[in-house]
Amino acid sequence: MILKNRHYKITDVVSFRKTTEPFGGLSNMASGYSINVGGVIIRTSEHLYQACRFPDYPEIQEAIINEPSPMNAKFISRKYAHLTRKDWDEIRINLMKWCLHVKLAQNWEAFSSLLLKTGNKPIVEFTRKDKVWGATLEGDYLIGINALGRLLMDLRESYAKKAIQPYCIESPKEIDNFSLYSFPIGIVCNDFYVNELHSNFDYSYSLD
Amino acid sequence: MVNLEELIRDIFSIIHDYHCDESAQLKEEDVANWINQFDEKDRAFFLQEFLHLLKQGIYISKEQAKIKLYDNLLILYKKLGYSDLSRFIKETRFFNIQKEGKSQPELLKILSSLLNEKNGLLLNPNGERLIKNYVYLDDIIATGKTVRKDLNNWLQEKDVDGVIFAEKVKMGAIQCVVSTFCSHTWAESNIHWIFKCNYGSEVFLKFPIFIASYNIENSVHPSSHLNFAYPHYNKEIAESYFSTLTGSYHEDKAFRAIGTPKTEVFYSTPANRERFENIMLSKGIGILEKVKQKNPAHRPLGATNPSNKTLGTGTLFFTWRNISNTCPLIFWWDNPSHGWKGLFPLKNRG
Repeated sequence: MILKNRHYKITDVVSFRKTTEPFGGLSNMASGYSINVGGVIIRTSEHLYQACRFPDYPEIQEAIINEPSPMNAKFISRKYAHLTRKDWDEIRINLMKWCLHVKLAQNWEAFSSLLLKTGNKPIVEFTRKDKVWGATLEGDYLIGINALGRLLMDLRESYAKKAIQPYCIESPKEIDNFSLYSFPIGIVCNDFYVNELHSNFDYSYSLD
Repeated sequence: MVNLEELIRDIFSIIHDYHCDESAQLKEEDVANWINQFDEKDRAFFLQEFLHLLKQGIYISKEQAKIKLYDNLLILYKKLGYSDLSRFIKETRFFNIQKEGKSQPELLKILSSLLNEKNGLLLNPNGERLIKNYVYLDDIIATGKTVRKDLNNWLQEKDVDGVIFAEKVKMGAIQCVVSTFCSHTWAESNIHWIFKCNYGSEVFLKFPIFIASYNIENSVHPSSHLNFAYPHYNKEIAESYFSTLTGSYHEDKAFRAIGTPKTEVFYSTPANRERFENIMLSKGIGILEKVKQKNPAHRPLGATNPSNKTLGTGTLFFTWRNISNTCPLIFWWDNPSHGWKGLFPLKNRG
């Protein structure tokens, strides 16, 4: 992703700010799109993103993931900012891309249909200050790198519009030391859980 | 100097009522015969550690079961927002789905008798239309397979008005509680996630509500006590027995990470944990080596989903009624041709 500011005319875009708005589900803070990574159920992609900042501190990860509010999860992360992984600035956009792919894979119906509702319009995270993940209002324009909006647009074009559900999401190759609760995060697949419901294997006690 | 007879007596005093309702109740000599199957150098240690674990409440006698069943009822009706037990009972249906001989019908009989005796109430007094709560009793949730299957079947049924129960759950019209003596946290979260995937609603992340007298924390979270059989990586085992397993899931979590649990609160010491687990593991592998037709669900540390590449569920919890086959094999495997007789023989062998 080329990190240059873009200008979006506010009347031409789909923007999201609060999770309660019509397109609030696009926000990482939105509830209703829980994620399962290695058996750990995570309320929002914000929780997941913030937890991934601290691969060497499983207890901080747990505190973030156990916090019900995604905003408070972010505050916990800020409290431990000095323990953030050293390569955070280099890897965070790739990490966000991975988080969003997992969010889509595991919430396909709800999230893909929300992406499709944006039509062909640019998707922009409307922020007060953050010009990296979103864009701020200046006159009639939203101006910023809008990294989150652009990642969402990629998902829309690559998966939602083509009706291709990503199923197993590989961990980002460029990110070393990628772990949750001291376990490396490998491929995240939902098939174990989907198959489990229909598994009829007999664990019976026959000992012969 | 550790007195083996004393240890056997102390252990037997805790577990003496195992299978008390069956034709062959446990005898003290069964404990002695069982431990004599272990290597001589390990016997005293193994009994000592096992006694340490038993003293933490991992065996439920019949008398304790009555207390805990009733205590769970008192917890769950308040948890569902009721202040009046009688009203709760009127609006609740206790499932009677499991076959005769399984734990649910038996636990229902016990609870029914207790409720009548203590409160003058009857279970399941009302027809379906008044029901807002559903309670599923079981002795233990280990892998969660049984409760998941039973609840899933029920969720797809319709009520007397033709409304599918899954829809009623989504609407918040009904609640469901699973009440047990013991529940594994990993199974609970698995069940929530599987239902969420299947029914496409986050409501199912809290369905059902689990209430257990004792929790086995086998989710690999930093704060988990890991109070089950979960050994560290062992190169010899990994390269021999473990490498023969054909499952593919959860291999990354097959062995306990170094430094976990953060503080050992279940076993007597981390070193004793290591030794105890390795004895169970090696004896379990030894048993399986003698089995000609292996059931892929059977692992040295207890039964598990055959798709898992793990050493077994590792349950360390027992009740007077019957052992779970998710416990390590040394506790329940019973076949002379395999050279092993478990401490707690299984009822309802396949």
